[in-house]
This record gives sequence, C-alpha cells and structure tokens, in this order.
Amino acid sequence: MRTLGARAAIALLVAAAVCAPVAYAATARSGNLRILYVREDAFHNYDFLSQSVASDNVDWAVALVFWNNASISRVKTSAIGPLYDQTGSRMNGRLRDTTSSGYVWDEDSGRKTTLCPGAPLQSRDARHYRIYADGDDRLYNLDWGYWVYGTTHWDIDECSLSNPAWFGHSENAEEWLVSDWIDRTGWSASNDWSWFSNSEPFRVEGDHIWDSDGYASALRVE
Amino acid sequence: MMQRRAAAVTGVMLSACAPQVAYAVREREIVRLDSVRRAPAVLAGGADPAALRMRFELPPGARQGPERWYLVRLRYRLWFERDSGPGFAWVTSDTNDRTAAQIEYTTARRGGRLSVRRTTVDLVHGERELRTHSGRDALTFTNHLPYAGVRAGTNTWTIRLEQTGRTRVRRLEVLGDSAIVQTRRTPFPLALTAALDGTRPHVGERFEIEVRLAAAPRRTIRDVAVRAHAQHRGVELLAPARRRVGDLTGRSRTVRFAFLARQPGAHAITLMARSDANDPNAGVQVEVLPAARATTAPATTWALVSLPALAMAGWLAVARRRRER
Repeated sequence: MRTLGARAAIALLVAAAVCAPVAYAATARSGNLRILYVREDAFHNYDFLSQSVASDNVDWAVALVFWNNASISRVKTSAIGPLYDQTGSRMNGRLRDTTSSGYVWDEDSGRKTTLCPGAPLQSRDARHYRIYADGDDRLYNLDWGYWVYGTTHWDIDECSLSNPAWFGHSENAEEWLVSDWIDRTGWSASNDWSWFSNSEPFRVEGDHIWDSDGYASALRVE
Repeated sequence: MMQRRAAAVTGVMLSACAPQVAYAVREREIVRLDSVRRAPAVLAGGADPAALRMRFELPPGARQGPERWYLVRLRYRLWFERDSGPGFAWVTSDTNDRTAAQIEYTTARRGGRLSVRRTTVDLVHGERELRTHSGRDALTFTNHLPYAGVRAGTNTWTIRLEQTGRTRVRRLEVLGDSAIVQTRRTPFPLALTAALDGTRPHVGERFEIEVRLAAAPRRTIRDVAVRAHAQHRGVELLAPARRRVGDLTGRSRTVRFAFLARQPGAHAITLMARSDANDPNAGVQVEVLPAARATTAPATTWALVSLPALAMAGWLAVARRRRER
C-alpha cells in the first residue's frame, strides 16, 4: 500500500514537473479590451500573460469583484480557502488605486481546486481563480469599500500525458465560484452583477475555450 | 446590495466630483467611543472574531458628501502573543455593515523572531506600510466612510478583531477618542466634469469635448494635467492627448479636446486628470451620426422619384390643352 502511495506520489510529481505553466496568448474580441473606472479607481477588464497591455496578450476576462472588506489575503483565507487550496501559474492584472500615483501591475498565481488536473490520482479538472490589487493588496473607494477583482476559468487535463490540455469555460467557473462562496462563507454574492464590456461568445482559440457573458459577479466580504 | 450599481461601473466613467461649497476646515465628533462605553475597550484574539458594537444618531438628511463628510478615526494599541506564528490578523471598522477601516497584519517567524507587516489604505493618507519585529503596535487610522455607511437616523458602528492561521493577538485596546467624525473637507478637492460641446457630430465632422476642472474652495491643487483617451477607433483625437493646466486655486479652468468623428455609433471618451491631490476622471458617450451626405440623400431621392410624376403631370397638361383646342 505504501509502495502504491509512493509510486502515485512520484507519478504526480513527475506529471507536475512536465506540466510547465501554459503560456498561450489569446486574443480578446475586437474592441473589448478597455479600462473600467469606479470612482477614481481603474482597472483593465482582462488579465494578461505578461506585463504588456495588448488585446492579443490577454488570458481571461475579468468576471469577479470581491468588495466591502476584501483583500487578497482575506479572500484566499476565507472559507473557500480549503476548496481552492492549490496554486497555478502567474498572470498579470493592471490597475490604479484612487490613492496611488499611477497604474501598477500585479502578479497572481491564484487558487485552484486541483494541483495538477489530469495527473495520476488527480481529478481531470480544476476551477481556478486569480485576483489582483496593488501593493497593499486591496483598493478602496466610497462605493465598493475595500475591494479586489479577478478572473476565473477551468483547467482541464493540464497535466495529462495522454489527453490534450484545455482551459476556459469562464462563465461556468464563475457560477461555481459564486455558488461556493455563498455555500462556504455564508456571505452574499450576486452572479452576473454588472456589465464589464468583455463578452466572449463561445469559441475555441488554441487551448483557450472562450465563453464569457461580459457580466462580472460581486462577492461580498464581511 | 451595492445600490449604486447602475452608476458605479462599467466602462461608464464616474467622476468623483463634488459641488463646491465654502467651508471652514474643522471637524466635529459625532460619537466618541468613550461616550458610549468604558474606554479603552478591550478585545482578545480567538478562533471567532471579537467585536465591539455601538450605535450613533445622524440628523435627517444626513449622507456622505458632497457638503458634509463622515470619517472614522480609530486609535488603538495591539499586542501579539510571544509565540505568534505565520498568518494574518485584521482590525476593521464598519458602519451599517460597510467597511471603512481595514488594517491588515501579516505575521511570520524568521530566525525564531516574530516578523510583522502592517498595511493600510485610506483616502486621507493613501497606502501605508510598516515592517517590524516588535510584538506590539499602536495606530491612529482615519478614513472616509463609504456612501452606504452613512444614513439619517440610527447607525451601527462595529469594531472587529480577527485572526487566521497561527497569528495570535493577545490584546487589542481601542482608545476612548476613537470616533465617527464630521468634516467639510472633501476627499475629492479636484473636480472634473466633461461634456460634448455642441450637437452630435456626423461622420467626417470635427467636434470638441469640454473639460472643466475646479478646485475646492480655499484649496490649491498643484500640477494639474488632463488627458483624453478614446476607447474606440470610431473617434480620433486631433490634438495632443495630454494638456498641462498647472496650479488651480478657487476658479475653475476649462480645457477643450478636438476629435474627428470617423464611424457612426456611440463611442466612449475618457477624460482623466492628474494632480498632487486626487485624480478624478469622467466619461463622455458621443453618438456619431452617419455622414452628412447621407442625410441629404432623401432630398435627392425624392427629386428622382418625383421626376416620372412631374413628367406625367406635364404630359397630362399638354394633352388637355391640345384637347381644348
């Protein structure tokens, strides 16, 4: 039994090792990429593969706002923490806080439900979210209080040696996260709360499967 | 929830502009902690959040801005346990369940020593960070309450201590002069408004966006600059995108940006100001109409369509005259 466990652990490690961070750029639908403003805070409505703003360098559409009493740490250590307990590859958000002097980049590897989907003894899929803020890990304005924003998607067969990896279906991952949030934290959340001008109808672009309705969900932190 | 939904987001830019009123820079305490309970009030860290709950009254018509602003002033002392490990602790303050103070402590042990990082952000001081190996901290924190954190009548005020991971807070002492404060000092001393100057343009026509910048009374705002940005190629900026305004005191200043309408449809233009104070922004949605020649087409069309009718009428008139002969 121990041998089996050890082999499985080694297989997982090997799978994780060969599973390099995926870095295929996707292209936002024409005219979608823009800066959104709330009071004097501002942020781009997609996250990016690298620290360069370009519509052919995006990863996913922004679809999450954690508000009222949020910070990166408060969200990640909230009651969804034990479910989304693994980390992924890093992506980049670009934003500007009311109180700061200019735009800044923030990197986040996010949290996901499975370390290496498709690896031996691992689930084939993972739900993955990334959240962004500036140096103090949250923004503040008089409408949203302390807030952070983010993206979410599925990772499928990311570490599989036999099946091709693919990523996406953000709309479905967003609905799951909202549901997980309400169930586990007991705090409120509003699915598809507000239009973020980043609708991505279903289409396949390389390993990216776009599907996003352009509305972001609001998840309250208490 | 988030009642200002329609107004708040969405590519629709919001200016945080407040009408300007003469004011004296003074503050008035609405409620002090030591007026409603024994001070200092003590909270201890634990598995569950520890909280102080109080109430205070505001007069009819009370709201956050634009003339009167409400702030929380939080003064406290905090001690970590000697064996505190890695994790987080938060001291927060809410009014009506809307958070206006969030002090985050990140703790770790390095070489056996406690390491503490404290971060805050507020509209008065911006971002602040402290790194220390001390097991105790003292802070005075001030911030403007969220709009929904202020209402006429009875308001609730909650101060909370939370910890996660292996962070252990032994004691939090909230001092008696912690208070909800009223002031006339706006958090947005520079105001920006923008509007289309004139009527909706047609494709191919030039149009201007008028930007008005104003400083709050008795405030000098320095190094003001304003920038225009078209979020779509349907309109093209003709002049330099950035204009330097300089210092603003009392009087407002107007800046104009010229654009060329290139495609019909609704196009968002963003105006952003920078200054040594706040950096307001505003959005203008410009509806570009089809090219002007398109609007004259119906006249031409009518003329062409009416030619056969005119010919027929002429022919009938001639024929009738011949018959009369």
